[in-house]
Amino acid sequence: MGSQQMENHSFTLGHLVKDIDQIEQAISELAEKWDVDEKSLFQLNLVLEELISNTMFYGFKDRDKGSIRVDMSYDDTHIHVSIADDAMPFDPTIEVDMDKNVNLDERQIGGLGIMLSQQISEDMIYSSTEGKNSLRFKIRLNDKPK
Amino acid sequence: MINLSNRHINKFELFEVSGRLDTANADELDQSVAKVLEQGCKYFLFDFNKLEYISSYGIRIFVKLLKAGVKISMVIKSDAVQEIFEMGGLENALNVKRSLREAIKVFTQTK
Repeated sequence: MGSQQMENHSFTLGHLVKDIDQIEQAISELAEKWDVDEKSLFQLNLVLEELISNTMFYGFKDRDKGSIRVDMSYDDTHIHVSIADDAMPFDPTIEVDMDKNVNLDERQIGGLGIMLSQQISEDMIYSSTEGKNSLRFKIRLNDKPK
Repeated sequence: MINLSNRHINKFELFEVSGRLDTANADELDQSVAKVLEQGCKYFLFDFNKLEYISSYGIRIFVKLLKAGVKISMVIKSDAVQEIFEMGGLENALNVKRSLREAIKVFTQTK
C-alpha cells in the first residue's frame, strides 16, 4: 500500500523526571505497532527525551504539578510529532551557541540536547499561548515504511 | 536498562556498558566513573559494542571526564549511536573507534 492511513499514538507524562522512562515505553509500543525503521525510532526517542527532559528539569522547576502530552503519527516520509505542556514558556527552536570548533573547556554542554534535537528534526515550530507551550516537528524516515 | 562492569587493564580502566545511557539510567555510569577517577586513573576505555541508545544526558559524562583531564577512547558498533557523537562534534576528542583494538591503541601510543 502506497499511502497508508496514519496511525496516531499519544501519551501523557507528569512533570517529574521520574516519568521520563515512559518515553522509552511509548517507543517500544510504536515498534510493535508501526512499520517504521529502527533508526527513525531511535531518533524519535532521542528528540523526545532531549526536549521533554529539558522541560522537566527547567520548565517545571519548583512546580508541584504539570503535564506533557505527546501526539505522534507517520506517513510515507516522516514521523509527525506535537508536544504540548503547561511549563514555563521555552522556545527550543532558538539558536544554540554550540560551536564545534571551540575547544571543549569553552563549550557549553547544556545546549547539547537542544542542538541534537534541532539537527535531527525538521520544520520545528514553537508557539506559546495562554501559558501553554506547543511544539511541532517532523522526523524524516530513514527507510520507507513497508 | 543499563548493564555495566569495569576492570583495570594495564594502565587503563575498561568499562563495558550495554543497554541505554539516557536520563533514566546514566547516573549509574556517572557514579562508577567517579569512583575510578577518585583512585587516580586517567585513562578510560568504554566498550559500547552493546550500547543501544545514548542521549545528551549520557554524553555529558564524557565531556566532564575530558575536563577533568582524562584521556578517553571508545568502541561503538551502532551507527545511530555513533552519529550522535558526530553531531555533537565529539568523535575526535573522545577517540570514537570501530574496534576494541583501535580503541586500545589510543593508549598504547600515548607516552
